[in-house]
Amino acid sequence: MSELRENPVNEYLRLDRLPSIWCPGCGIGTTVNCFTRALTESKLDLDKVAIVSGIGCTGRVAGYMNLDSFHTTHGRAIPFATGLKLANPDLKVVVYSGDGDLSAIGGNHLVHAARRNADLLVVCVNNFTYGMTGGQVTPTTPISAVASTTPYGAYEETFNLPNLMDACGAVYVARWTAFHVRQIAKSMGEGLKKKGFRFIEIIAPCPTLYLRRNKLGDGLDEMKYYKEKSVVKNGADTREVGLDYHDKIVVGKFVDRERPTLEEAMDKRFTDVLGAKYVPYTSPGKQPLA
Amino acid sequence: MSIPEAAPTSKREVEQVETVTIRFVGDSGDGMQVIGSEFTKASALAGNDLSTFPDFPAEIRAPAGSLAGVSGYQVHLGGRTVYTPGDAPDVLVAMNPAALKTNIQDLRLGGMLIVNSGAFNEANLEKALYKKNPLEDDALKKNYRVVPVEMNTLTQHALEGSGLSSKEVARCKNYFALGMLYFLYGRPTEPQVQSIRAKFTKKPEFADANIKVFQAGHAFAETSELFVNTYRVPAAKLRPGLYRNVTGNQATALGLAAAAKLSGRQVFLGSYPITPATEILQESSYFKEMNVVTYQAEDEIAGIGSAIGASFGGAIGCTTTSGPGLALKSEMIGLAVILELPLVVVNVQRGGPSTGMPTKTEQADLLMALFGRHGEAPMPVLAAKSPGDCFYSAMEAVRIAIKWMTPVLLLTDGYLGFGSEPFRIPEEGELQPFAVKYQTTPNYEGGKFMPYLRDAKLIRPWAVPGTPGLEHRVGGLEKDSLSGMVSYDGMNHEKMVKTRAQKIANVVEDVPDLEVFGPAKGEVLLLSWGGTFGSVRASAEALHGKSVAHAHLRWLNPMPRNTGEVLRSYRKVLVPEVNNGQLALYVRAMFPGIDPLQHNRINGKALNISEIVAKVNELLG
Ligand SMILES: Cc1ncc(C[n+]2csc(CCOP(=O)(O)OP(=O)(O)O)c2C)c(N)n1
Ligand code: SF4
Ligand SMILES: [Mg+2]
Repeated sequence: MSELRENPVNEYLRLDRLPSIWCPGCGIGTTVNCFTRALTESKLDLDKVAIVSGIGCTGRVAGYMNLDSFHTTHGRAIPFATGLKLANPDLKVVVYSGDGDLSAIGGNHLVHAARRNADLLVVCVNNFTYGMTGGQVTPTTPISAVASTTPYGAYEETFNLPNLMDACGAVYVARWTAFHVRQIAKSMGEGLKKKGFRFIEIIAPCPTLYLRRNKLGDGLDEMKYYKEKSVVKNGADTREVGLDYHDKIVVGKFVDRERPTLEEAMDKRFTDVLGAKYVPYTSPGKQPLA
Repeated sequence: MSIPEAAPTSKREVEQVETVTIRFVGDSGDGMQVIGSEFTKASALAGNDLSTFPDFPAEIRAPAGSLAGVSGYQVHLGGRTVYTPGDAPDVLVAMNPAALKTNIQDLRLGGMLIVNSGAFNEANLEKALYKKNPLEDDALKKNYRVVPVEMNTLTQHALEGSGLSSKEVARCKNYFALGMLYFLYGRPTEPQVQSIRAKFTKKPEFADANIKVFQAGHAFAETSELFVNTYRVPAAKLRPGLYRNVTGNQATALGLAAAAKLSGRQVFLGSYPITPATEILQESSYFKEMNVVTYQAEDEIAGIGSAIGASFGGAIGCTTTSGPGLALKSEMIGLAVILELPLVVVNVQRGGPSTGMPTKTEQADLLMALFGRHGEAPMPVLAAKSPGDCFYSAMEAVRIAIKWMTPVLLLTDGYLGFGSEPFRIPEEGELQPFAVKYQTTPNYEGGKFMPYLRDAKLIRPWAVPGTPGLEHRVGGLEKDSLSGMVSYDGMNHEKMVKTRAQKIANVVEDVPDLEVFGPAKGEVLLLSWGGTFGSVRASAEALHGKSVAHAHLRWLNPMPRNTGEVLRSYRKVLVPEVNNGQLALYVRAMFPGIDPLQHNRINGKALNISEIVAKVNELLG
């Protein structure tokens, strides 16, 4: 009999906090496995990676990772992360949160962080609903899908998140479904390496609320749907990747470009104007003691 | 205390009990909320007065079998008025070790423990951090009447050959427990069978399975000799009428809808989901034929913003939220105060600060409701006292907001919002309409319209944009006391601040005097507000015959005119609250010389009657 080996992702997880709060078949855990894989492959010093999340089922990711983490308030992960990064330029800062948290209450912060090109990797788990509060409609809930606050079906036009992020100036934009574990891990790896505002949307099942209410079966059925209905189109025009209810899902890496980050732009401006008088900010730990 | 052993006879005594408190506890996936509410419905049909409270984890699904994943439902039913879901349960139905561990300490000494012994396997015991099986512990049997039932196996037996998977079979066992209780409390089974059929119309195989299991539970209790007695709770003398069981949140939604009808104006509810307030928005989103419009905004600020916009447009703007959301709305409430437009803000309080304890109750937003704004921004604040009272409080909040052209803050809490009680549906004509009068003609010399020209009560007119000749500008800058045009004149500002404050003080004409339950003078006055009404009134009843009275504040701002006089009629005032003493602090400030004593519990639960009684007895010496 072969020796039992420890699960390779364990190193990254707070085992004392497990099992997790997530329902059976929930897609969030799958994305976390991908993230731990990306971390391993990135060979980053884990002491230099911090994870920030808002509130929601996805927001709980921060609590399970064996990294410095910050479980903030609903919708505001990006402002906290922006401050953390500016004050500690050596850190890799990852924002991990849900579609509602990032694009509804946090929508304003999302678009401005992309515009500024804040140096953050944002992972958005899009399950088309507010999971934590019991399944209300979100800005991504497809038209006609039932949610607890749209008992007669959703009717508002939705956000096409990759297109939104592209338009706001994100330097890296990708979308995958929870079925595409290898591709997610690869994208996350690229995202961890790159600088500037990187955005990865992951379509994931919420069997307990979204699937059940829309009679779409369980997590496994949803995976089958992802497998059958997703089309990989790297470099697709983001205007054409909007989602309709239970229809085709265009996935892939849509945007990968370079642009000065917020810090770089700031440093350049101050150096141009102030010259040697400008003292760039360094992480508090590196500051000489007065 | 000696606990009778099970009687070895099938001829059981039928014991009449005046009230009984039953708590169902199990894993989040065990269906405790379902059987709790089904048993509640049966009790309501039997004419009992009742009060319920569900207690569930903040997570949608905490790990199966874990301590954090325990979900419970408590119902207190009686042949007389029932004020609270009950302190200590008389009967505890526990479906697994974690549920036993987290609840057994609440069971009344000598109470009945019906426990699913089949779930006490090694894995579950470990998850509940039990070193050995507690059911084998003598102490348990000494303190409680323990009825171990192999519900897992019995459910499997009942469903042999049903073709269901073992997982599906396991999911039916809650109905086994329910069947037993139906027998114990003499509830007719037929309505329950119907109800299961209705619940699973689309999946008749599940209906059949659950009915079988329910009947098996009933038959088991009848034939097994584990139960000494059966029990009957007589019908309560409720006021005649048509009743339905409502949670506080449903009642709030219905109250707002009723206000739309009584005022003849549209209710516009602009909200953002947040536990424990979400249900009001969800419930209202069904009311498409009741002149209620719901709008789920992208955040709390947009929710209240849309509501204020709707009010400017002539609708009744409402917004519902909980602590963190109220904090976000506070800038906008300031705007509503300076605009003087009607607006109802419902805050269903939860454990704070920040994300705190979302599913647990607390009364810690009182001071924020009263004072938590920038600038001088007084507004009327009232609090509901029971789930059913949320209906009347919501209606009253709308009436006051419209009449006085002001934002009104209604406080409820998670205990009221999630809790339920039978609610008598008011009859046609029983509720007073409060027609809205918009300004339609100029109100000033020369055919002009002055939006801040007030009547004798200091109320300004409400003119809907688009009314010919009544164009007017409103906004957040300080405004001239007549025309409403922007004014930076310091003395005008002072005048406006004082005028707005006086207007809110005038609302007292709509605030009924404080009523006292018990002696008009004496030793101890219990003073409560909001959701603690039930516990405090039940305590006062328990202290009947002693020099103890109870007064309950529905209105926090303005307070009833006679409040000071009532407080001064007792040697001691005791304020029980689920916070660190906020009403007590407020009373000290408002009535110098009165220094209330405090009883504070901040554990996410309602106050215990026995604790309040003990505290009062201590004060009585
Ligand atoms: C200020 C504030 N408003 C509302 C809430 C309630 N709330 C908590 S999580 C959540 C929704 C989360 O949805 P999403 O971001 O999609 O995450 P998911 O649970 O679906 O992973 C809401 C509305 C809150 N905690 N704070
Ligand atoms: S409610 Fe939905 S999103 Fe939340 S843990 Fe369960 S399946 Fe996942
Ligand atoms: Mg979501």
